[in-house]
Amino acid sequence: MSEIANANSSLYQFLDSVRVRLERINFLSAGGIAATLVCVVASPFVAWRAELQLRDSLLVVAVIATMVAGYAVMAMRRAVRIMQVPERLEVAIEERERIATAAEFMTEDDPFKRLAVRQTEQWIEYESERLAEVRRSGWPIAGIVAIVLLILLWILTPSWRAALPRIQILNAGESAINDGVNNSADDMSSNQAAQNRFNANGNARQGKGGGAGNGLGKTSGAGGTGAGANGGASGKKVGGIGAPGAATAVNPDPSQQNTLQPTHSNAPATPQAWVGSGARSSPPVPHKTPEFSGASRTVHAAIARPSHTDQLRNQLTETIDQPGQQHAAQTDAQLALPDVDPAELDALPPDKRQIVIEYFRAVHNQALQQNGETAP
Amino acid sequence: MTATATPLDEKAIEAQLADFRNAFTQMQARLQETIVGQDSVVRGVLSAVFLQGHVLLEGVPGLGKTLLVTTLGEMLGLQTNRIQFTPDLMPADIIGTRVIQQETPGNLRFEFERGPVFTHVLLADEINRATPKTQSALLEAMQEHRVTVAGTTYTLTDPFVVLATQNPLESEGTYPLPEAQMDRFLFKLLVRFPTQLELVEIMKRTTGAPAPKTRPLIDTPDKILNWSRLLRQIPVGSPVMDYAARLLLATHPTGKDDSGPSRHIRCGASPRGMQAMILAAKLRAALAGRFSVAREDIKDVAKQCLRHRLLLNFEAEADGVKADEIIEAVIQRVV
Repeated sequence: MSEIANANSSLYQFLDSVRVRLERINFLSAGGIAATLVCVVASPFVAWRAELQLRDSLLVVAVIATMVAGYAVMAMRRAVRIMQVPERLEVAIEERERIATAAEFMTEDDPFKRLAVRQTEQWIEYESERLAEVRRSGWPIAGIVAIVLLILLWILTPSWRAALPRIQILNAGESAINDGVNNSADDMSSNQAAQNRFNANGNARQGKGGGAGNGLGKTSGAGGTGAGANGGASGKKVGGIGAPGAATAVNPDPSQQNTLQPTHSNAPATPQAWVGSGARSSPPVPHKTPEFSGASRTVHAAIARPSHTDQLRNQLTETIDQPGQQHAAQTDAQLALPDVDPAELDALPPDKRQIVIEYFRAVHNQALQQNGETAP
Repeated sequence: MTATATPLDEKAIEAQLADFRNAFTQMQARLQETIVGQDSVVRGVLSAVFLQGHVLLEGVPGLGKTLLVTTLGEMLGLQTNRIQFTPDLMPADIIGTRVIQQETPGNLRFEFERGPVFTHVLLADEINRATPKTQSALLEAMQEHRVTVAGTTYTLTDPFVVLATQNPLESEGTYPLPEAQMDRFLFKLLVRFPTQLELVEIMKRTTGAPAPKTRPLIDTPDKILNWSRLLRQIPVGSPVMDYAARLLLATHPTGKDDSGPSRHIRCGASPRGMQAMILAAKLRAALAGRFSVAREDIKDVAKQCLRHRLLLNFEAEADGVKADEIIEAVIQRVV
């Protein structure tokens, strides 16, 4: 009996229809298996992606690619042939064997076997609905559950935020602060001392740029220059980058830098950021610990792109200096941001920008505390 | 005697199998008119005739074993012989011997005098009373359907069926059949003691007027041979053959699994047991109107095919475990 003749038999058609259904189930099952296994393997990476410094996009792409590859391999391996159909039927073992026997006889040219096939066909026709039941697979549901759990895990665990700014406490600025404190004790008011301290840091930051040291301190630029000069003169670890008279404060030797990492200690050390100390006039800005709220996390993500530092700096400074805004009015901080995508920061609403400011202020305060000073 | 095997078309096969079913049903009914109860025994003996296999009937005396055999012979139109096995029975008493014949004075020659084994149906009554030497005289006849005497081989007539009986209770002065000979029996059928109703029926049938002689239902033994060939052509699928093989292997002690039924077995069934199961299953499938063997056929015939092929160990004897219980456990265990 040829294969073409077999294809016309009702037994063949029955087996083929079940085979098609089985293949559909198999494809779903393969997808479920692939999703489940990949989710299980990926869950530790998702949970600790911040600690492992894994980029979100990279992780997502890896998970999806592995799922697709696993699905493809399993779907190919689980292709169903006609002769494999009987063993997948959800019927009693005697009935399964009867169908398997008929399927085996289907290709043979023996009158007894033809009779057996015909008899089985009649029986199948009589009970086709019951016999066509196939074993379902729980893998598709398992796969969906695994994906949902992985997404939940993703939501509930922190992402890795690249390039959180390194806070650099400049020795020059530190000297300036000391000077400012001494002056404050002797002759000056506390506000003046703070002013000196801010200016020292601000000018020290400007020193990196090659010694043009009048700083960003728009709110206190004049005072800052003088204090910065003092800081630059007394800075022992300046390293000679800054020009004379400027508040050069960057030490190119990392070992000599007194740095403070933000809360996320695993953040990479680049790009550097300089935060000027804010010698605040009254009223004092309340301290804020550099913990990352959900909003600040968003901001961090936004500022983590390298580009257009100067534009951002100006933009941020303007933001700070806008009259009527609470924090800008309260602070005279000179803030410099790491390389930031200004477009993204610009897209942030004003309250988010203030969060940026708050954050850097908090980081600065922490830096001060580590240096044994108290924030005003 | 051997008919040429002509290829049959599907309609001819269907017709012949239908004929066989009808004849078998009629014969079974006719036998049960004579033998009260014992349905499985009657069916088994009749099956063995069509499969050309030998049957060991085990039961106490007086249960109608001899009556069954003689009635069977009459009904099938077959020649029947009966041998009462005793310890002094010699092989020549079974297969025959050469005797000197004098055709003319001074002209003597040996001539083979055929023994009672040259028949269609041989009743070997109380076979375990004969010595092993005499018992083994039947070996060649049972397996090869021929006997060899003084270097000359004589072929037995087909069909040739040995129906042997043995008493399970009386063991004094008996010689248990060797495993090789037990293995040659297709079935071992247990003739159980009749129930009260059956006993009453036996009284009614045997103490009145003698029953008329049974008229043969089959005119020629060739018909039996044709049906036998037809039955052997019933196909068996691979899944069923695999199951039969697994079942047989499960009767063998593995030495690892002490919790299974095989822990009571010293030696499992031989491949002949598997052949017997398949043959009997084919007949059962034909009687059920199926054209291929199913697992249920194997299960149904497993006990009568395997119970005499299992050698039970001392633990089984001590626990009183019977071969049938072990086979039942094996059937439950094998998937």
